[in-house]
Amino acid sequence: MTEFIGGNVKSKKLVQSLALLGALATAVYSHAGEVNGIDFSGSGFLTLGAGKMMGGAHNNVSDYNCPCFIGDYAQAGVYQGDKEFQWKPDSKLGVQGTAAFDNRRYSITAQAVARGARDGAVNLEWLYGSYKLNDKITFQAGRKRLPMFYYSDTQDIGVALPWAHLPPQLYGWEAVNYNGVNMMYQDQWDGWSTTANLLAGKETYKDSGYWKIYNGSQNRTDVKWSNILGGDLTLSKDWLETRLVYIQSDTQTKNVNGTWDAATLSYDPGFIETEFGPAAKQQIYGIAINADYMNWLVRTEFIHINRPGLNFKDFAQIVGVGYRLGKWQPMLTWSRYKGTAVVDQGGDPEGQEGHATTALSLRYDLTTSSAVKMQIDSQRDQSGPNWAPNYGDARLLTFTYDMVF
Amino acid sequence: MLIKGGIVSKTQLIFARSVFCVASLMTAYWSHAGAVVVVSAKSPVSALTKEQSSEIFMGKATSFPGGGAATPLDQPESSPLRDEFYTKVTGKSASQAKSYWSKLSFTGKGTPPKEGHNSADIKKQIADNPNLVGYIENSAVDGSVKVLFAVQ
Repeated sequence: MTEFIGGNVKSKKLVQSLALLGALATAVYSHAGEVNGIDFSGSGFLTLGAGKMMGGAHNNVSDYNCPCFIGDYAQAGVYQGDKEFQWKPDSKLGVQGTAAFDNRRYSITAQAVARGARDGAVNLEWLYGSYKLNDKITFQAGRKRLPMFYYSDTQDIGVALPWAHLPPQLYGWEAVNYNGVNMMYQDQWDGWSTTANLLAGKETYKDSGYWKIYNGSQNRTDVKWSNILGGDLTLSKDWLETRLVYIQSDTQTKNVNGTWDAATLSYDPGFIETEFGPAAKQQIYGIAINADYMNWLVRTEFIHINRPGLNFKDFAQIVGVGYRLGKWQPMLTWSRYKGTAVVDQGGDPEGQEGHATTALSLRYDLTTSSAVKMQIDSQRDQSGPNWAPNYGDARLLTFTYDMVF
Repeated sequence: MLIKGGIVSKTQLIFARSVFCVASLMTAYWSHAGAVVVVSAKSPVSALTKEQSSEIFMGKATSFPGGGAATPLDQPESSPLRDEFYTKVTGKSASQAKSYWSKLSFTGKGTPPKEGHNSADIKKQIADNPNLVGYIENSAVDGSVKVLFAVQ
């Protein structure tokens, strides 16, 4: 975890980044309005999280001091140790500005986010232009979120989530954005609200958070997804919402500075940066069926990733049930990730990663724009005996304060 | 109540008084309770259902049933009327509606309704723009706006 390495310097940088983004947020918010026919609007979101490991497997995994709970794979948001509350893995501040003109037919949107998990480094997560052809069809181009999951688009907007953090078994992948184009179609079909989206693009992600989980907190692995093609379809009516997604791409990685060596307890100083490896094709299939019926909310989602030619496939799912009691919302969620060996390709059935988490969440709406949550996660390791790195069992207590402005 | 020849029977008098009494009670009720969905008095639109009102405020419809752009105008977040409106019309609390709009607005799929400062401001904006639709207390209704739906 980064706070154990050069903590003072990184904390200072984090505070500076948050101050800069806070000033930007204030500027964006206070300058909303119309100027010369251009409609400026600003908004933002904040999550302050504090979590403490409550137990689990006491074994170091690379340079992580476990028990460890991975709150955010994509950003390497890892809770670790068992002594102190940690606030970096889930805390984030984002600001978004939109300039729209010609009665909102054209718009440009930018969103920057500072994350505790990245020591406050400010990243431009979204930057895209929109052209609204008519009430039903919108074209967009630029940098956007890759819509692999139901909550992909809103994964940083804590107020829009029922959890303190997304179930990591499902929402944990190496790429979360892409640069490209998409066409969005919104309509009503026989009483069903319909949103269909087609996309194409590519993504090169330097210093992937995901690979730090497997290669060590100081490892730098770059990821390249090319020839991304896909689409998603969301249908909603009354209390029911369903979503289907398919995305395919070529995927490559390269190791820049070596991985943690358990024998020498260090990173290899003589490591020479690799080139991007051969591209592997991947096909992502996902389905979500969600319900908000009376006071009940149900969240179910399943994803399968197939990589022809590789020796394993990925399966992940969540099932969550919550109940609204006025401003309170308790929820119980089960999530599981399971890698499955393709024996024909040399996969080892005993060497696959697997884990499941049961999360008990309690949300309380402070205002229409803010909420506090408490969550207890209990993760059970289900990996094969030959799987490494093995994080083992983990129990985490998290508190968050979420707001949008 | 007058009938042919100007003769009023006792039964008819009782009926008329009853109607007057009920109407007075209803007027008193509506003037103190509930929100009403309103448009400009100049608007050709005459009524909305609860479902149509919900679709406009949740961004699922951008025009009135008979045609013409429909642009919703919200009460400020601090207004208790806002919670009542969303709970009774959309079936979502104001917090849930905010989450819903956060999801759309931060992802380029929609823009939440603009907010007026209060009912007087909303009424003033609506009176001048037939495309705007808002909700105010029934007691705030005057000749500049037209009631399309009474929230119950």
